[in-house]
Amino acid sequence: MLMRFLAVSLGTVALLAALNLLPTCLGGEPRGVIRYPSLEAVEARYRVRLWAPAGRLAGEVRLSVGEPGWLAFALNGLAGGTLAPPVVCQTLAPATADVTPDVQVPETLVPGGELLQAREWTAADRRAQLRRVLLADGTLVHELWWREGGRHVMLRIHGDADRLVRLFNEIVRQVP
Amino acid sequence: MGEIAIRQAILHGIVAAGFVEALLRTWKMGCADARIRFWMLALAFPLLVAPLFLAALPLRSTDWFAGRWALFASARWNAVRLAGIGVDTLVFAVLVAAGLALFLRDAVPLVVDAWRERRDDAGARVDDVADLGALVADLSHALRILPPAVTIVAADARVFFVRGLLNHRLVVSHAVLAHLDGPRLRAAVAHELAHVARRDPLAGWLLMAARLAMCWNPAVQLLARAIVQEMERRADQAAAALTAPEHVTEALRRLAAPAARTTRRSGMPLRTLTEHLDGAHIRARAAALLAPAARETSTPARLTLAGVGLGVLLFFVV
Repeated sequence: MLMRFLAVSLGTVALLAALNLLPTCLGGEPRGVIRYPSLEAVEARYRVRLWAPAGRLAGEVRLSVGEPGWLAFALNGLAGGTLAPPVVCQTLAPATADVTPDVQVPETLVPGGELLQAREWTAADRRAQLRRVLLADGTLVHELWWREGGRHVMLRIHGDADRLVRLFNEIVRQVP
Repeated sequence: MGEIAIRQAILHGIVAAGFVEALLRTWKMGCADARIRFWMLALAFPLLVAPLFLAALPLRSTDWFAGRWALFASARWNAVRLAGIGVDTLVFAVLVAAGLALFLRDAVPLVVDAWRERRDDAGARVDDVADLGALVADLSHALRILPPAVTIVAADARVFFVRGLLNHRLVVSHAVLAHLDGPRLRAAVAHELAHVARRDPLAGWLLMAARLAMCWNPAVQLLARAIVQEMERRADQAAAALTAPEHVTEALRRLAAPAARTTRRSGMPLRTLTEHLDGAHIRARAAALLAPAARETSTPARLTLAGVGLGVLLFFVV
């Protein structure tokens, strides 16, 4: 009796686990990443104010669960030619540490790469870190990291770093 | 009820029904009583346990739980799109529609029957016919129940059911009396009285209330139907024990003959001998009656094991 019960239980567990993994195989999200339809949906659920340039959200918001919980969303209207759109990443919970090269966005949200250069940068009364990163596929990206309202924010842009500054200014203008 | 609660109740109902069906097959449990208990257990999960999980364990509703700990998180399927709509949303909509269709399929005839019954109450009627009364008294004594009153309806339709939740009344039409001779009539009456003995009319209405409360949940609709089917099987077996299996099956066949099914009447949301009977149904019930009796197994231990197993499993299904 017990063996048959265990067989049915394990079979059910295996079936459910397979169904849970299938969306990843079908082009969905990896385990641990949740999609939200809008920034407002995330703000309502987590009761936080998210930092984003007004009216530039392209597509959905992706959230990597855990501590501190990172979310990422792409921006439209700033991509140049065939370049991928810029991406904004930020933590949901306040980050206790300053931005250092150790602080990384989970690779389930944005692809990681090799840090080529990191330098300090100050603008709008904020101390930021500008990074040049070489992604695994050979793409060179620029990232700007800083703390806003106690939370880490990262902007990643393909190509020219000048557009990074423009985007940074758009975001900090939203901060009351 | 919020959308999350509705989604969870549907999901838990489907998993519970599948898990219990697998256990019943694996353990080869054919006894109608035991099967009813297991289906009731499965029904308890969407009806009671899922709301309890949501209210008492809000941790399960967090993204952290869905992303890190859940064995299955239905929301993950929304990342897969069909025609611009998340698969989870699509499937959820289809399941709700299926639940409503299943509910209406049984509820509408019930309402229509109740309306017809009230209308026909003004028709000719003879109460407490002596011959049938003696038969009912005899069988009631065998089943150790108080004999219900008998009402004979002057109708051409084959009407045969028990009315009343606590004070029961056996309602029979002239057409039934004309088509069932001695042993067959005895078998049919024994079947209806077996329902009374097991309080099936009350259980049937409670099941209907559960179906109404979760009219959008296809799993609840199917589970309630499965329980009703087992109740019918149990009543068939009781009637066969009091009479003879072949008399019960013959009574079923006669009452289900195409010419006989001129109307569907029901005094309770259970299948009575005269309703919902098609050829396949009759064959299945007859086959079940004539098959060797299922061995009674140690139900409480298995039921406990199934309940604990389902509880643990469904905790991780969000």
